[in-house]
Amino acid sequence: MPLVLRRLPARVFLAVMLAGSALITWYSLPYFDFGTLPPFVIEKLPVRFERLWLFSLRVHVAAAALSFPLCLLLLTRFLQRRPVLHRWLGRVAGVVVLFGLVPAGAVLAFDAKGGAVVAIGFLLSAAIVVSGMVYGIVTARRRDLVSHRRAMHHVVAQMSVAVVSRAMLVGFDFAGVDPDLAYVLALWVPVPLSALVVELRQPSFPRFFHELTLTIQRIRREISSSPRLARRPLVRLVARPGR
Amino acid sequence: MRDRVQSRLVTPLAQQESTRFSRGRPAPRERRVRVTDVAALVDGKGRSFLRFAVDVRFGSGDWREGDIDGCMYPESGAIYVKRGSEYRPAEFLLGKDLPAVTGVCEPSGAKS
Repeated sequence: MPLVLRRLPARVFLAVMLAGSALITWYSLPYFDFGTLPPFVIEKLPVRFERLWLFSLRVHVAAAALSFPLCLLLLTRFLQRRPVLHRWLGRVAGVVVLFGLVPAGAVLAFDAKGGAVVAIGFLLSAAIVVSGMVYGIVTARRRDLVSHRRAMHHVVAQMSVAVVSRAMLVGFDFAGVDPDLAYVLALWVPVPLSALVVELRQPSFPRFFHELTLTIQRIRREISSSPRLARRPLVRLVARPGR
Repeated sequence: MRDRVQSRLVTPLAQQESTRFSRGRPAPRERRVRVTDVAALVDGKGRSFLRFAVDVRFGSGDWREGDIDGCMYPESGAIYVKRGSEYRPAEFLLGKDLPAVTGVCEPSGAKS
């Protein structure tokens, strides 16, 4: 396959995510108009700690507007071929994500629409971002670039949930899906799916899958070659533990 | 009264809503106003008011009753909407950061 075609999905992803990030930033500008209340804020109020919630919302939005496009650009070959610049921009992104985006997002998660199910979804995404970012920094300092790449892909994948989730919400609205159900689906589908896609794209995944298949085949062979196990139904084994 | 709530609250709400690329709730497809009091009530300051509810419908689903609860003072034309346990002027829902008003929409003698 030609190199251009091989790189096409990654380029399309970058372009769509940059456009999505710009769109989110554009629609988030009213959050910084201190004289009026945007619809999302009106919908949420009253919340338990109103000033903390509003402050967290503004920090989260500002941090996302800066860190998401920055992380996307850090994935480009242009910046990866300039290690000094890549390192410094990476440090900026790391600080903004770990000390702005994630803590503010965690505060917002506790007052999320949809209750505990949605709060857990946001916190899971935050946990993946934090672990990915910390592991990415550690591996970058060790010069383990394969692991660094994998960790940072997880960070960007979870950030991309912001765009995918909103696109899903718009689609669900057009389809007339109940907004409460749509909100849960638009979070719980892309969060685990993004993590899965990153793992599936790892160069080591086919080898892992091949080894897993061999292990399963070996276990099956062991079971079928043992006459005692083969004759005895599995249900009895489970039903009579310890015999 | 229903017409006044419709023209001063529901119509402006619908006009400012559009499809947004945000996590905010999508705009309802339909809204209807119900007056929930048969006769006017009187608040602690002796002013009469009537309570109303705005129901919404998304897609082809069922009506969700009481999406907005509020009251209107027929004499002054003031409309208040309930947020949490407080009442704020209806303009709050249109984006104005207005504080809660105490003593409105509560019948005299009723404990809040």
